[in-house]
Amino acid sequence: MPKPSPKTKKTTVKKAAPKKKVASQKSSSRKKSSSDLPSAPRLRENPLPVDPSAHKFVLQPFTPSAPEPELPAFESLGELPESYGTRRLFLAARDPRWLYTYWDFSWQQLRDAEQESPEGKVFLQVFIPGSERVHQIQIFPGSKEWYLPVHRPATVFQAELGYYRHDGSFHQLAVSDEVLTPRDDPSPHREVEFVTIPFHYSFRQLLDLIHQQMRPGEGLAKALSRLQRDGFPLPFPYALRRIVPAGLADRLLEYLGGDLIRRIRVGSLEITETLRRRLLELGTSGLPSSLSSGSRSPDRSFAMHVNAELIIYGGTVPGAKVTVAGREILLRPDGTFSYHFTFPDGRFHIPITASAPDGHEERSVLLSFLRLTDSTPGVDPTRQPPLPEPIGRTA
Amino acid sequence: MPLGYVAPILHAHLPFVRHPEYPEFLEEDWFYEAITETYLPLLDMMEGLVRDGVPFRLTMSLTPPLCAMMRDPLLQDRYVHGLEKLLELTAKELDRTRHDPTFHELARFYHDRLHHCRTMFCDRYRRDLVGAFRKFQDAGVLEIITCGATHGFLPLMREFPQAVRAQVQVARNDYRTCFGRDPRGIWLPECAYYPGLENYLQESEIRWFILDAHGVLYAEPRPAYGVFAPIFTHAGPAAFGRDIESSKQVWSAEEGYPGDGDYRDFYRDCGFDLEYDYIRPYIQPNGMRKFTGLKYHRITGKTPHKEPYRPWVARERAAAHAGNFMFNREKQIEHLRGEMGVEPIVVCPYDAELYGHWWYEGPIFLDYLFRKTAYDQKTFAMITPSEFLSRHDTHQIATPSASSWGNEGHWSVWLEGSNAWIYPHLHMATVRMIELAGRFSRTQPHHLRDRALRQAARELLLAQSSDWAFIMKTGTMVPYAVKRTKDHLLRFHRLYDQILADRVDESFLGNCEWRNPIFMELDWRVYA
Repeated sequence: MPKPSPKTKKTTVKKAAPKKKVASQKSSSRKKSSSDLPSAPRLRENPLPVDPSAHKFVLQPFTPSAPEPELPAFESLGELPESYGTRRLFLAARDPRWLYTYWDFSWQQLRDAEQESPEGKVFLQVFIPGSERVHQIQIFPGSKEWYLPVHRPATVFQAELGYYRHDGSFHQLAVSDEVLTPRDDPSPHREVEFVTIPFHYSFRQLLDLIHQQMRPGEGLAKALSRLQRDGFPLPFPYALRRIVPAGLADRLLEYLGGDLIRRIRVGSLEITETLRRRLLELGTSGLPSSLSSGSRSPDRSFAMHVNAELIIYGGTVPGAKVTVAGREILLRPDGTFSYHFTFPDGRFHIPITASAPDGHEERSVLLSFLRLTDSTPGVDPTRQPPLPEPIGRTA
Repeated sequence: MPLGYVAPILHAHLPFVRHPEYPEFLEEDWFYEAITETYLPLLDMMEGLVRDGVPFRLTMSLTPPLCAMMRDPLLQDRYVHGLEKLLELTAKELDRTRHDPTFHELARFYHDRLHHCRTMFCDRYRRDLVGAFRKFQDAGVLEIITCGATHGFLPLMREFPQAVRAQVQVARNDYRTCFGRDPRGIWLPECAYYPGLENYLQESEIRWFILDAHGVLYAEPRPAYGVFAPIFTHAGPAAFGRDIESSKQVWSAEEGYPGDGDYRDFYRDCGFDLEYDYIRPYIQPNGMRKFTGLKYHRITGKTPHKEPYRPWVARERAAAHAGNFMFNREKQIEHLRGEMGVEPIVVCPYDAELYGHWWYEGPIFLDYLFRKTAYDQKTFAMITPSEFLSRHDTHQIATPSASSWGNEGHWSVWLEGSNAWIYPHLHMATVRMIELAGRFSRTQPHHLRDRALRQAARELLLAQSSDWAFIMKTGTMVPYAVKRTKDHLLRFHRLYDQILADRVDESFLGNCEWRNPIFMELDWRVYA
């Protein structure tokens, strides 16, 4: 149960105690003769040693946590269950390259499935409906979720969870909805279809106007467009056709191209915070001198950038103690964990151990990684979000 | 006639944070700081523009949780109380700095500003900020749009149509209560879109929404005019794409305005800089330091040494930056008009809290931008997306690409190692809410059960706020976000059990209602 952050008046102020003596001396001198006080504010000479992170919710991250207050009785709501046992399999296309899935099976349900399986194994499988299987992962009781690299934009995926029978057929315990990974580039389809949708007509009015002409599954805009092309009488003027300059879409993409390649896709809050940090790093003044006319394409010299991060993740039973490279890490309530950090060049050996809550059993694994970068000129490291330094480096 | 249009859009949002169970609560400061540094300065700016007869157009989302906090008497009282304390501090600062003209002038600057805030909040607006913004919408210079009811991340509830519909319809109904009309546009929470979402917008008569640039540029089929014209989705609502160039020119790490050395430094604050005994009455009750809003230094440069802030110099810089921004839009629009043959629209969406709270001079920049645009050029005009759609009602049909405006452009901010654990619980609560609504929507009304059903829907909506996952991802104030998520879910499940067992505990229900008085007229049947 996380402790609440409100600080009640019961809380003591131990952290401030060392300063108190000096401060109170100065207070008393102020009482003696306030006119003799130096007028310069007693401000710090240097800013606090902070690395503000990219978010809007900054209030007091810069000082050690206060002693946690006792929980009032009305805060005792219990804990969320480890699982609900609904046997639901959820799949999401997180981005053009990664899928995420979770399954709501209890430990016992997965254990039972293992025992029912001739091989004693339960699998998560991801496939393209009507086509190939792209992932098959054995899952264990206690596991809850998986991040799956697919690297296929604009592709439909589906997941299933189950086990293989003796005859080789797959016994499905759960199946997800189909999901579509988003595009990662402009569509190759260039047909242009216009429609007039008058703003002063409500959607309801428009639907009432044409509902008898709409085809099954046809959207309002598509139906209006078809009817307008056919010259269907409507009580408002509409444009029959508009000429789009040849090659316009390509020229506009080219105009924006430099930025799209660099994937400037961060929310403005994140940008402004990045800016603050970058200013400290780079010493740029932020002057608009480089903001010359926006009328031409930006500099489009060919470049490439690459970088790597490492995510270690797994799960055990809630209450177990897990160490990664000797550091104890915090488990989520369901016993899963993950550790995400930068992955520069080097050799890494990362031992991971889990000790049972009663301390009587231990499981361990050693993960080894090697990254060597050998690139042609003109390849830079891709900028990374703030991440912890790597662990387990041996060379 | 202008060659094209610029649509500045500010997204004003904070999660619903209100803790009557504590006499003071740190996370409520998000709201109080935003009132002083963003909402009141923006209102002040609009007052000045209207008073001086400057033609301008601004679009703002005011999310339902923010409106609920603005209308809440407890938070209004606490804001005024906090202002009084800060005024007391600035009075002491005037005395303490009386022999140092530089800092004394800064103390005077804050003293005057805070007095002005108190006058605006208490006297001019009678504590009613929603009414203050509404006045400018009614005057035709501001378009206020809605958002998801609690800023829920809609793509991750796609499997539950009722949940998406509830986020949209509850928000629309709340907007009617606040602004006396229907919203025409929506800021999708985190600009997060998936194909099909437009159907729920159509149901609520919402005519347009904003996407990040790639959401429009990667639409199917490829939009002929890029992000410089809206596209109509199959269901009818239009999607406007964020302009990359103007975003970058304001916020880019290399080129942006807010990092100018003359601007006020956000992180140097008297709450951390002044001696402990002196500042003790103005920080947290437990003795932990916090931001006071009195910040005496400018960014200066990369050096850790910070020079004193000079408000009049910063004002000059804001004016210069506004001129530069306008010049670049002129050149951009001239070029685009030449290419497109029709009037382009350049959509510039930002978080409202950037203006004032983070970039202290942001409202001054906007003020100059509106004035210069009105009088110093004729190339483009400011516009709202609704006005644009009413003047230009013929556009290409395309389906936008799934996208958000978060880092990397999709869901990875809200679905990763730190926060993915919330979704099984959110989804389970959603399934249960749908079950409850299905079971009871056709039964005879029952006062206590209806109250419990309404509160259950409130708790679910509040748990869905994307802010909690965002905070977990970004790493500070995480325990608060975790606790809020769990508490709302646990309250929901307890209510669910009580409703099904027909044993609603009225004291527990009353406690939930007391804590979270939002969406007072919420119709839980939206989940049926």
